[in-house]
Amino acid sequence: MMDHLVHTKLFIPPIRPTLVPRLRIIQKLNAGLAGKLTLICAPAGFGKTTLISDWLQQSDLPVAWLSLDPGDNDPMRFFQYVIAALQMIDPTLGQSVQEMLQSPQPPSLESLLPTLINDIAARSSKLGLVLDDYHIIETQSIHDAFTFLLDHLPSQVHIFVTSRADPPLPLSRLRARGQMTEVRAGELRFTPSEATTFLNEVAELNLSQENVAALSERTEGWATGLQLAALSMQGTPDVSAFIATFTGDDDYIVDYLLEEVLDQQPEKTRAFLLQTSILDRMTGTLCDAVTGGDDGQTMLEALRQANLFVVSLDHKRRWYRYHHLFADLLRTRLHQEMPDQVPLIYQQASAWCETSELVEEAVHYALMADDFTLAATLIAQHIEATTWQGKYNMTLSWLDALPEAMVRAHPRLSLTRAWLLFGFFNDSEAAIEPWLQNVERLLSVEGAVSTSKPALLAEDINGQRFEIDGVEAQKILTNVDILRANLARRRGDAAQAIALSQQALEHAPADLKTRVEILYLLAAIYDSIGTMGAASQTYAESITLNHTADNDYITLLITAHLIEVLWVQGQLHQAQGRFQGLTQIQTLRQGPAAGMAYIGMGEVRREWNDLAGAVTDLQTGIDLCRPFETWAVVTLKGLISLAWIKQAQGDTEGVVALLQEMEALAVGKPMPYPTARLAAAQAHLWLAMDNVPSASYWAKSNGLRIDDELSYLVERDYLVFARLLIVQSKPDEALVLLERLLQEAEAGERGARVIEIRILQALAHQAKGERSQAVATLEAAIALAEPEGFVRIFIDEGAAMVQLLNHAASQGIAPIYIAKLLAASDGEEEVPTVPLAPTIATDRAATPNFIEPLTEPLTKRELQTLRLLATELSPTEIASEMVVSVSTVRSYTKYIYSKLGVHSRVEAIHRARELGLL
Amino acid sequence: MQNVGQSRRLTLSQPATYTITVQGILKEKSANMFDGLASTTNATLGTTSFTGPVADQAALHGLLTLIRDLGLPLCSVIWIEDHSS
Repeated sequence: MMDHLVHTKLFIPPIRPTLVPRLRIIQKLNAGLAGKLTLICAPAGFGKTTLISDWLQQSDLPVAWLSLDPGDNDPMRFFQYVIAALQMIDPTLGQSVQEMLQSPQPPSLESLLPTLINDIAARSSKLGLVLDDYHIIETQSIHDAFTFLLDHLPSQVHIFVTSRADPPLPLSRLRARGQMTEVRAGELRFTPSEATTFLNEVAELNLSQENVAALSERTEGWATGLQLAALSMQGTPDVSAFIATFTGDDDYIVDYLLEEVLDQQPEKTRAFLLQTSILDRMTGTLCDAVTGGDDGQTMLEALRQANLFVVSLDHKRRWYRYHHLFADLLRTRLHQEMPDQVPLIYQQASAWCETSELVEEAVHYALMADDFTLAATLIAQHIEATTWQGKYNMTLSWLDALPEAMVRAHPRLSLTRAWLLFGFFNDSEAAIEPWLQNVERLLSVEGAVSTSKPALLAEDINGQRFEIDGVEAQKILTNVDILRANLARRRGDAAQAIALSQQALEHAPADLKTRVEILYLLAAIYDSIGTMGAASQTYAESITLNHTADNDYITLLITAHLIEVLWVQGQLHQAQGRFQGLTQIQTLRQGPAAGMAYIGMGEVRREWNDLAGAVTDLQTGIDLCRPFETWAVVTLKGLISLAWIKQAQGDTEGVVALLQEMEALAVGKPMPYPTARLAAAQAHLWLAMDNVPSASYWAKSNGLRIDDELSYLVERDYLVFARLLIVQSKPDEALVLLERLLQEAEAGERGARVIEIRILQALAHQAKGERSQAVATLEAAIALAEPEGFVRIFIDEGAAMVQLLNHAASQGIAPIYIAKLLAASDGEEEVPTVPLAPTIATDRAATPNFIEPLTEPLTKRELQTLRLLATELSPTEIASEMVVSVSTVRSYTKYIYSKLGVHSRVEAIHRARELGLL
Repeated sequence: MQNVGQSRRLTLSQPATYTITVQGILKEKSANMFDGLASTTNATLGTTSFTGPVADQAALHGLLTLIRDLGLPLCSVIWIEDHSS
């Protein structure tokens, strides 16, 4: 969510009441709506923006408008503004994307786009998006994202782009397919008759045909040129003389005319124009701050009335800006005439912006003033938020704009530099560590870390000292620990990473986001080394903590990981519970994190032999993850699980097809997925299909031995190897390996793996002819597996297991459970007695025993209200908690009752619990 | 005909000298926007030429963008090779 949205960027510029009609172009624009893109491409001052605004006035297409500025070269900021613009038409657009943007590591553009596109596609009515001044954008990833958007543009969307130069988009392709309409300088030029209309009717100059023609020719029909000429002539007594001089030579017309116009202004106005020219956008009090006057608002109004190139930026007549060309030239003159004043003007602008909480602009003006101390202080205050929002380009450009000595002198800035080196550039520890040590050195000044008083830092820069308060210092030091923990993790030193994370947790301030971040990191480290007890506990802790922070996307992300961990722990019912808790988060049915959760649930269903349900969940999850290369590990897990379902159903062709698909996914891409794990998964499937030679080849080419070093990472590989050994009639070797694996799995509390190992031990004993040993071991496995309903873990082992199960049953061991297992091996599939989670697939009603879901889901705010209704709080207290009015709470409550089909608070809570909403 | 001495290859990061010619006569005030470049005008053709060093290719593109934004048609951009050895 944007902290301060510059609303003027989203405002559709109003047109002047007096305008020369450009009928033929308007008609062209209308016709162009059938395509994808309308490109209006011409140099400055040709009236591009005016044209679109004019067209919009006459159209009833809802349009989102975004005026671009240099700050939009940061991809995250660019997209936040695109979403904000879209939300001006429809507040529900892009909400899921906004949530994703709030996660600790905001996803890449490629993750966001499909979700955004789906959101827009879900809307049935047409809409337009205007990107004004696209030539400002230079960032390649934004161009790439825009190209992606154009390639996948929903048919109800039309995009308009104005630019001074042809944008680096696939224009020729769009042209060739007739999907683009272009309006270029040639068409935007005023024809002689349009020039006549403008000069004589609009500007009321009453010129002769000859004079109009001369001006038209001299300006080449350029709108701004004609406007400047008109202004000059309006302030001149001798129009003919003016025209004669003007058309008599080749002087750069803007230069010439601007001089004329400026000369005609009273001194006060002239000074005002020059001083305010540095402002990207202006309002009365800001102008006053910069000029030292007190009539800024009046001046702006007067300029607008006089058509002196001032453009309105909102409906309230508060904000304005100059035409770009005009501003550029004024600025030049300012630098020439009053060079000493320039830094001061910028400083005053910066101060005003800071007071008005316009951070980015305040920083910009401070840097323009070359006042690095001021800029550094401002940047330090806001850089945490900027980085958290994923605006790395912006953060980087801020740091790069400061002298390095300044960055070194300030702990917050040094820390940010270190984080960027890690997260953005993936730099070496040798490069990062000095910055961290610098931070610690700066903060080791006595008293720096006490929360009770602010501390002064010893570093002097330009005779300035940076003050830093205790709470901020503590935050910074915590972040140093977190970064070092990440570095340890990256280098593979889990023990150190855990120690540092725990240290960070101890020192962490009460700030919720930071605590959630640390817990998530800690849990992920435990997860990666297979210490599942600690992992699930820590994930769960971070989720609970995050509830208070109310960020659904993070809940989704962490829960998806937790579901996986619970599976490995063998806690299948808990995994399902967690999944069901997720499905009520309405806006989050999209995106790879949701996909991961679906795949996790699919695995559980498969284990319970609910194959139909598993296929649905797995397929949903795979489709959600597939477009994202960085989530390929997860996609592969889903495909592997699907392959096992095919295997269970005897669909050998299906298995082979999926194996090929997995290989295609892994090959040729810069993936983090270790292809070794994929190879092991394949070998496992081969064994199930009795293809021993291939599996054998795999083991040999990887040089697997029973005394190899074991770790969680390679656990699955060695379990496959153990199976191979049994099939190759080497059960003793298998048993040695399995005993070692068992110790590791038990230490890591990996319940599901323990069951698997026990099963394999039983099979090994059986292969040795040690029947009673085999049955005893199997009994141990059953004891662990039965409470959680494990099925496939037995059955997937094939005929040998079936034989052993029969034998165990005949000895009176767990007869009912074994009967169920044997039925499964006969091809019986489970019909879910627990409700299926509602999926994106629409045929939910076909599933038996299904609790009727809400026909209209609760909105996020309604859900929040519902949670509070379940407490003892009164409506007034709820209103206060949610920072809304009591009548708003009553409205939400009304909607909630209506959607739940209830009439009272008690009923609502009851029904909500039934549905798993609470 | 071969040039005397070796011809140099232009790179992205080295300074270079250019002459840029635009359509339009720019007087001193506007010509000053082209920092560090000497300007001459040609009344017959109605053009202004700027000659001088640029720090590197990025600086050159900055100038071209400025020219674009001032609405000056671009007549030519010529790299002036320095043949001193």
